[in-house]
Amino acid sequence: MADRYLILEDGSAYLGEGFGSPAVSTGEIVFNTSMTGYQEIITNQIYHNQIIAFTQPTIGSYGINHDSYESILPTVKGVVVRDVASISTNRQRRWSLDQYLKQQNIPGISHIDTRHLAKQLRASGPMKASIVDVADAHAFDQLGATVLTNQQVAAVATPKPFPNPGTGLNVVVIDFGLKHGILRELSKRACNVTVLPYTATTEEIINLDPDGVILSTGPGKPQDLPDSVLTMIQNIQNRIPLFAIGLGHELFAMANGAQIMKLSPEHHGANHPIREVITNQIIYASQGQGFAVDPTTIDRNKLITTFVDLIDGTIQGLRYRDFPAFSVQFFPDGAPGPTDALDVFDEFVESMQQARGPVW
Amino acid sequence: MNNLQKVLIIGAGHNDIGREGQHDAAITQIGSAIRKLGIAVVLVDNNPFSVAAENNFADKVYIEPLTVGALTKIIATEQPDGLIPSLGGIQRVSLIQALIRNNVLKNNQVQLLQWDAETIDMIVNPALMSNRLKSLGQPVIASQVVASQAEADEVMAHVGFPVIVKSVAPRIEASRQLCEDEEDFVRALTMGFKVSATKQCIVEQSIVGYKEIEFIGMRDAKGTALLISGMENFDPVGIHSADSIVFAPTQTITDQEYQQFRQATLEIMQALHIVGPCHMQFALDPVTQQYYVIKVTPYFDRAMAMAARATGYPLATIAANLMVGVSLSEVKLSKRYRKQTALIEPVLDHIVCRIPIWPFNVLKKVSHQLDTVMESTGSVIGVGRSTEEALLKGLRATDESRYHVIANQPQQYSEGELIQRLIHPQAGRMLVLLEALNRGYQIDELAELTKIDAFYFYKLSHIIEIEQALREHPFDVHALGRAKYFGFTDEDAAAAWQTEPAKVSHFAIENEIHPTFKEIEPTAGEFTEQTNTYYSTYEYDNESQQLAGRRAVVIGSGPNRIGTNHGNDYLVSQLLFYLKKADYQPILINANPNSVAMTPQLAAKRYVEPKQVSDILNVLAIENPDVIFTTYHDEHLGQILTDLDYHVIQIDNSLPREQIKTNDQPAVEVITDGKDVQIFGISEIIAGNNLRSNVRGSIEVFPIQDKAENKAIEALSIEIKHRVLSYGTPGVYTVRLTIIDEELHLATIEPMSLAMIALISKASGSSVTRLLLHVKLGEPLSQVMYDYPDLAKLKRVFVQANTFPYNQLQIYDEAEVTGEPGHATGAVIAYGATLRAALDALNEGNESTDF
Repeated sequence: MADRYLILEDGSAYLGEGFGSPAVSTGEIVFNTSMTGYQEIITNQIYHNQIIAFTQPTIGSYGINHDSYESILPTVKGVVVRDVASISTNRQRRWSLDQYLKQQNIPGISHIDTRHLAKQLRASGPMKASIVDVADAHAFDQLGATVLTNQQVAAVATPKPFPNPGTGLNVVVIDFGLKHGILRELSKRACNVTVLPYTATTEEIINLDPDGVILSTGPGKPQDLPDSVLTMIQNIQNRIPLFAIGLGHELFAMANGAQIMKLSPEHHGANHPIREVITNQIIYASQGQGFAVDPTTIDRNKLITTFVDLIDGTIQGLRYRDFPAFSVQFFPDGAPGPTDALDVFDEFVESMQQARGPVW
Repeated sequence: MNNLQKVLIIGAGHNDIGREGQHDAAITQIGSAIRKLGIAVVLVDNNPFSVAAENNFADKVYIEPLTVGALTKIIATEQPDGLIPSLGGIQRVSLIQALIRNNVLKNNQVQLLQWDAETIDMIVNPALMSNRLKSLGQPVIASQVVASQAEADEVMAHVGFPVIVKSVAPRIEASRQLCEDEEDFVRALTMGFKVSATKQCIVEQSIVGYKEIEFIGMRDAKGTALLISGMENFDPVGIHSADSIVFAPTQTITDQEYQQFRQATLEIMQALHIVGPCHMQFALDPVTQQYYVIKVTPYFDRAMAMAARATGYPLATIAANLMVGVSLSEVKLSKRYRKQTALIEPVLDHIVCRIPIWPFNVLKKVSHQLDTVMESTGSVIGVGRSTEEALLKGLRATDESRYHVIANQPQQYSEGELIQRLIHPQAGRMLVLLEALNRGYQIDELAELTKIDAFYFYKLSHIIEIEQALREHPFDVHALGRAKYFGFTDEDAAAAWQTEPAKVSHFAIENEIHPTFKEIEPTAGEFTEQTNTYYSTYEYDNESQQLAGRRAVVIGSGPNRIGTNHGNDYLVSQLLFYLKKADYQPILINANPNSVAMTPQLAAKRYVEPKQVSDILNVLAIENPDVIFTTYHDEHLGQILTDLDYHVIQIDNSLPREQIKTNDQPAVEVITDGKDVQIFGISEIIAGNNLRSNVRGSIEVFPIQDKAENKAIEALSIEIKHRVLSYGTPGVYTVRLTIIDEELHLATIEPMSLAMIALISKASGSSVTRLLLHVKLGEPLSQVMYDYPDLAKLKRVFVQANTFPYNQLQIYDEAEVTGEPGHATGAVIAYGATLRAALDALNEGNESTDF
């Protein structure tokens, strides 16, 4: 395999071996400490325009499976690993990671000292980075000159509504770059789902007569989204049970007056203890966040904190005092990661049932 | 916390197959962690090589037989508030069950820590556990007792082939029969009914060939639980997991499978209210993804030791806190760890490969076939940044060959033989797998034949490719760089290039191919965690810097083997302990995951590395030690390092390898600094009669009980001193005496055995290793011997004998009677006011230890 370089905007360069697509690509580089689930991570739209460095040293050992996609098409800009595994493909493992990244035109680079890279990113926070063939002044100039879009949600969210029919409760999912795990959990609970673009108006949502609304996960900075999204949330949250996840959680907090702060370094992994405030129970969940709700800006008359990350102290869950509206920063659907928090979906279903009242 | 003032820990007893020192390692850490919480620790053990039983790891140590009788007395005397049941292996669980049934705990108001009494019953009786798991909705292997062919057919209709048929209470040695079809089934049942005392058979669903996965969880009394580590067996179900190569983290299972096991692990721990760590074994059907729970082990075992080594998570210290009621959120670790590390699920950015060691080179009569009976005596780990590197380092650490296993010697098997060996694996199978790849067998075909995931065959092929490239390109920077990046050494390249390792080393340095050391810590670089434990690889960033101060490198004892190593690990641990006291920075190089020497409190820094010369030199290049210690096995290595101008102190004391002729003749145990000689005391060896269970051979007695002989020997003391000074450098020695014409004469002088070092240390309460260390460092005896007691005032006589693995390995021949010292896996110690009482205690402590 060909020698390639991972170059970072601080001027550092790592020599490695290319795999996947031979394309040159640029994105924001972050590291992820999950032990399993590379396919789910690569296909999670929260990583749109990002390059993911895995600290788990061997990636690709169980190939690409049809039931592990978190989006239809991955939009990451690169995959950085210590070692990429060779495998035999079969019905279960349709493609190798290498084949898959080639198909998707995503470059990968292996033989990188990912431990050192993680320590570097831990100190610097995310940086722009490129996977290139030659690490010369020109490549660094190009990297420096590249302006990464702040319209990530527009790039990955559905432009048109689509249904995911079920026989149960009627749920509208607002798509900011939806993770499939959310739909999977709603399907398990027989929900009848309509996915709407993030630009959906209050009226469009209400017209579907939903039992509940979900604000989905998604990429990027919540402040980059139009204010109309916040208005929509403000209009919905006191009328229909609302559940917000990831980016949706950040937007929910903003709609209720809280400020969002940047996390440096970003946190991507599944091993932090998260305390549920009311029960004092500790759970683990998949997390992928570059931002967090600033706890000093929360209006305590409106919102209560429901979950806290015990390691970095970030708010991991909020609940509206007066209405059945709540949110989590982490990914309760796992995929990949622990399934400790799956009951959050049950809680959402219960809140919808309660709001609906008894059925005669 | 539970208001505990004092807890009782029951030790594991003698080392054996399956008990390699991991229990003692756990006790050293747990004992000191509990003491730090202000709770007194009482330890009972009869293992002379227990490190925990010396050096203040417990407040009070009883060297007593591990029996209901002895424990009942100790509990009555000590009145502990709590009992820690998980540190002595499965044998002690039965003992605790008896203490509960006899109301000993209840009558003395001793709280059973960690487990419910019900859990103890389930650990002892797997059928109870199986029922409980079933009631929790966990899949367990279907198993049914049948008394007729018709009943068996009915079971078969549900289970389907393949099945395993076992005879119930067989009157002969009957094995488990794997039945693939109706014909096998009828034959196995007919035979099974015939030999069964109850005319019954067990029909069990066969899961042979499934993937074997091991998960370790941790739970506190409040119910907070987390996963510590997932591990994957290279070998499929059907080979005992202790005899299997094991990788951490899991290598080939998907996130969905992984989460399924994580959830099952934590759910089972919650349902059984287990406090502390728990080891789960699962079988996974790689086709349907159906899994089964094979075993739940909440007591300390090799998998927990490996999880602790692999993750860098301070497992034992945290477990100690949980045992006495501290919650995971309340655990306070030293400042070297990030706050709340106890609650962070460990993640790895390295790969650990554990490789078993078999006793077959010593015990030639044992079947080399690998199956469901554990036969390995020890294991080693290799740590690297790729599967290849971890595997090669692990193989190298076994010391099985001068150059590691990829020697590429064609194996002289016929095609049929090779296939048989692929299907029916034997010890050392790696050579067979490589041979098959070399002969052009396809990877998928091999995966099908062996039930080993194809992933590993790609890795093995890659290793073969790298070696080939190395051979085809002598002194090629790229080929060498790549080989080293994937775990090859100077010695490997030298073999490929038919040159000297030193020349390769020189070439590597010239071309800036340098090893880099990385820390083994539980957060994959996300946080700063100082475990002071490192492994080598060849990458960009080196994390290990030379320690300040006087540095002493101690080369560890390597894997537990039959014969000598259990004593060596004790010696190494004691050296580390007393080097620290002597104001050295002790640095350990060791690849044995079960080694007590790996206890974090002992060394200032640990390198988990094999012992090939280039591996050692890489460490020495960083640390540049003032002194290096090698023990018995590493004489050759010690010599090489001496020739390279390192200051090496070789400690050549070992367990006796020859059977000592026992004519009740005494031996004098001495220490010398090279100028002066002091006598520790006089021992004698007596024939062991009526020894029970695993204890065989002769018995060492210290101090000697015969007053007249004692006098006669005192008369010889001047001659003894003279002879010792003319014989030996500073050290501890045994001077054997012989009777000629009814008079005592000096016969031979030899380095004192490790067994005797342990015996005198336990008998005198003064560490002979400490004394040995100080005279080896050149200190005069007059400054060293200050705490050695006057033996005349000792009111006790100590006896010690070796234990042997013959029962476990199913060897029944003459060796069973005598016990070759070279076959010993452990030893037991006892004492009494008289020799008779001591011998009774020795015997009492060794009930049957069948697994």
